[in-house]
Amino acid sequence: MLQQDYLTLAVYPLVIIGFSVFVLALAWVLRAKPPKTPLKQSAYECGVPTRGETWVRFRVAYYLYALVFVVFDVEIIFLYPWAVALKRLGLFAYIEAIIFILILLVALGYAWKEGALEWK
Amino acid sequence: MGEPTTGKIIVFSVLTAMVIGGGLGVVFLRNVFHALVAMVVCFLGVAGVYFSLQADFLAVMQVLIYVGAVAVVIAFAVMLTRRGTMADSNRFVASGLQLAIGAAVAAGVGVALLRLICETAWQASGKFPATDVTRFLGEALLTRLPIPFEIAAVLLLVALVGAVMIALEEVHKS
Repeated sequence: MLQQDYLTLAVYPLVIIGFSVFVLALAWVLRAKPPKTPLKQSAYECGVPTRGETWVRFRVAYYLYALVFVVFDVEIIFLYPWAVALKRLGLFAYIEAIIFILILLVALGYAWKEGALEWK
Repeated sequence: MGEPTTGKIIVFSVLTAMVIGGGLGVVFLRNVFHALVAMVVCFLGVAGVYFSLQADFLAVMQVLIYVGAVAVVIAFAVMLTRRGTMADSNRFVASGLQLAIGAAVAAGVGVALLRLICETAWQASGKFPATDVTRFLGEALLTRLPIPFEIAAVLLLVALVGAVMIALEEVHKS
C-alpha cells in the first residue's frame, strides 16, 4: 500500500470525530441554558429515578459468547491473508480454506451441542 | 521511508500521544472500566504505529485481536467479577507504594530496552522493502505451509472446546 492510501484511511476517523464534535458543539450553542435547579435535573416524563447502583453484574453466561467470539475472531486473522492471495492461488488454496473452516465448524457444532449458545 | 516530512511528524506525534495517554489512563483512572477504554485507545495507537511503519497486516491483527478480542474478554471479566463500587474499582491508584514499585519496574525495563536499542549494531538490509505483505503471507501460508495452517484450525478447535467445557461448568454451578 502506498502512503497516499493511509492518508485516505486517516480521513475517515478525522471526519467522524470532526462531525461528532461539530454536532455536539452546535447543539451546545443553539440550546437554551436554563439554571440547573434540582427540578430541572430530575428525570423527565418517562424516566424513573434510579435506586441503588447503575453498574450491574453481568450474568456468567455472557462469558461463553465472549469466548466463542474470540475463537472466531482469531479465525479471521488466518482467513484474511487467504482472501487476499486467493485469486492467484486457485482451487487448492480454496479447498484448504474450506477444510480450515470445516474444522472450526466442528468447534461451533460442539459449542452448540453443549448448549453454550442457548440462553437460559 | 525517506526523510521525515511534516505530515509524518504530525502522525507520529498523534499516535505517540494516543499510546502514552492511553497507557497513563490504564494506570491512573479510578474506574477499572474507564481504564479498559483507555487501554483500547492505547491499542489503537499501537495499530496506528504499525500502519505508519507500513506493516498493514500486523496493524489489522492488532485491531482485530487486541481491540476486538482481548478488550472484549477483559470487559466481560470486569463486569463478571466486580466487587465494591465501580467508581473506585482500580485499587492500585490510591496506593503510593504500588505506584512507586510499578514506576521503578517500568523505568528499569525502559532503560534496559533503550540500552539494547542503542548498543545493538543494526544492519540495513540490502533487499527491497516488501510490499503487499498480506498477499505474501497468504501465499506462503497456503502453498508452503498448508499443514501449520490446518493445525492452527485444530488449535482453535481445542481452545474453543476447552473454554466451553470450563465455562459451562461455572454456568451450571451458578
